[in-house]
Amino acid sequence: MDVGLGHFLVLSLIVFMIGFLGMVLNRHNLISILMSLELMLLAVNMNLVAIDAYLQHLDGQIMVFFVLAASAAEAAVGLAIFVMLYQSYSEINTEKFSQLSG
Amino acid sequence: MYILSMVMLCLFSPLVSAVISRCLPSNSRSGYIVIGAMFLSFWMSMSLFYHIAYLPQAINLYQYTWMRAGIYHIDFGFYLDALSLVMAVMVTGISTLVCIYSLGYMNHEDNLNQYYACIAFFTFAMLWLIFADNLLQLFFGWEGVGVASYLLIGFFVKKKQASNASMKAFLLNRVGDLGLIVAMALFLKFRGSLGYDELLYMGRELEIPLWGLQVCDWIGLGLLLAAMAKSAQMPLNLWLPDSMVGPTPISALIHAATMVTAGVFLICRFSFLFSLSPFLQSWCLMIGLASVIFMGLVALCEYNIKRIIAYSTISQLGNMIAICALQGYVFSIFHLITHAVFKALLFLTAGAIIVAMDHEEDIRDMGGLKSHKTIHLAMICGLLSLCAIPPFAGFFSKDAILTLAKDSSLWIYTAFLMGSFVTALYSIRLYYLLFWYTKPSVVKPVSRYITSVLWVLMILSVCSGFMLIPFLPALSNTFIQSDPVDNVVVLLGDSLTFIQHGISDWSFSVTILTFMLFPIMHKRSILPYLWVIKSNYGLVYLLNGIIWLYGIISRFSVSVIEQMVDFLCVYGGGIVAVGLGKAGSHFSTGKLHHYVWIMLLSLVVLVLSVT
Repeated sequence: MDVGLGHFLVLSLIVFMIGFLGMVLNRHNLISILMSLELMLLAVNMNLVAIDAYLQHLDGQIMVFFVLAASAAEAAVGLAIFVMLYQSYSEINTEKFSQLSG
Repeated sequence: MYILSMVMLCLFSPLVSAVISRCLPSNSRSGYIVIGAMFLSFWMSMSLFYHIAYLPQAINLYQYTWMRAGIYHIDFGFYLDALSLVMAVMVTGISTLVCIYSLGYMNHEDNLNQYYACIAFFTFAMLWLIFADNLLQLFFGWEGVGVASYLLIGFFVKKKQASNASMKAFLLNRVGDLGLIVAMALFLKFRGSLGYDELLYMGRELEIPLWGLQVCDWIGLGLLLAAMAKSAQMPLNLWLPDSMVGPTPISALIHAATMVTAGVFLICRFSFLFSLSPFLQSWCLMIGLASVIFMGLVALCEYNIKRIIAYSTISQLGNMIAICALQGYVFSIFHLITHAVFKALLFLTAGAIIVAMDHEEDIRDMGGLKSHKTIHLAMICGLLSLCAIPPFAGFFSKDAILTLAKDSSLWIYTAFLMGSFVTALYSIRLYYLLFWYTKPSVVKPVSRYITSVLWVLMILSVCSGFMLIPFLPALSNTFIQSDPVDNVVVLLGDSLTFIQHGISDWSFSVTILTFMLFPIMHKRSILPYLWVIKSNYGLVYLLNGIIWLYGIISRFSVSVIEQMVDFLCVYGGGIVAVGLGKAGSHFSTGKLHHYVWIMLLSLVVLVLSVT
């Protein structure tokens, strides 16, 4: 079977939706929210690479490395925030963090 | 070519002096540098005025293309005509005087280099706004004056009130920016450009129907919203009285004479839009007249001297916006200039009084001011000019407005007359409480810088009316206007006849009657004058009865007015704001997944509405 652009796009859409639903339906665990966020980012990256290869460019495929580096940094910051949250509230259940409610 | 260099010098010398002043140590004499730069700027704008203001065509100095985006391009340049130059002369002149005044008023404060740097930056931004040749360039200056106003209201950083007031001013002005941005977007969509050369004439695109109105109505509403926020008109007036916690010279410069008039300038710049649509004219009239009357009434209930003058500023700005509805743009600008002079005089006199009373701002606690001749005379000049008494400058502009209103319709004229009645009432109350109804207290000496600036402004408040009248025909060429306006301009040409005409008019007699009746109306101060008829007891009882009845009626009517003012102007806005906030706060649940859903839904709505 020949693997074309459409397959990649469908795969990335599936990964994106898994990430999105994971974020919306999960109501408790901050760490799984972060993981869902990473999944969404990766899906977008996959789109970028696939379309770039289809258009026979190289720029986008290199840009992906920068995006990956940025997302790694972002994950590190997120985890650091979680550690601080755990130290102050001794839990990471998102239901409890609702001080901004009106 | 030398015109360009003059414009550059006029525009950038305040900016350069701001940078220099900011770099100097905080207790240095940076004020002198700024005054020098301001004076240079004033000189340049004066000479530009005499070279260009009388030309029949506007001069557009195109410099370069600022940005390109697709089919749109935005230029950078300067637009010089009678309107922009008369504003420039006013702004730089008042700035120079206020800087000189500050030498005497602010000399005991810290961080003076920042103070002068902010004033100079303000002048730069205001001139930028005035000379802009497209709407985006104007927007830059519009935000610049907002920032300068924010910084200067909060200049006394240690006062909690000051930081709150500056935040309030900044946030309420954002509402107006929304209107300006909407107007720019509509101009770009329907005219394809933001440059004045393309915008300042009527085009058929403006009559395309859009959401139940025409395009020009929506653009005008955006501009009017922007003007309402900057000029503190009725629903958005809340920031101006609070901004009085800033230094008094700043209240005179920014919150009375120059920045708050930017809204009126915007409306007059786009006068062709407002002449085009009766819908916009009725909005202008309603908002302006509501501000004139209600804010004048609020001034009657206030005791802080600076806040009284601030409410009076809102009321006078209402006059300028309301007369735009009758296409009297030329009188709007005329009143703007004379108002700048006499309101600066009033504010700076208030500052001198505050110094003389050792930083007391409540007029009930002041006294002994009659002994200070300059302050007394300056206050009289300012108030008479405010109440449109000839031959003060305020008379010509205010009476031109009233004459034009008289031609339009009886109701509009009555509303304007009520405005001048309220003006006369709060003016005589202010004068009475300051100078007659006094308790003895020590008057401190006032610096020589302060009194000399007061003298200059007093002279200007008499002669600026006469000086501006020959210029009015040139100014009226920049606007599209109807025959009644031209007739009034012609009538103004002979100032002596105009004074006679004004004295025989209703508004003058209303003002004079208010002046004469106020002392009788105020409390029972009528009694000491009755010694002549003391022998006739019957008459005394009758008079006492009348006074007693009058007291009840006046107390009742005052309380009704107070309730109305409280409910309509003070609580009404608050109730609406709190209700909106409560309704909005339901959307903020604090739960993360709710926010994700809201983001998703708004994204879907955005995508659907764009496609």
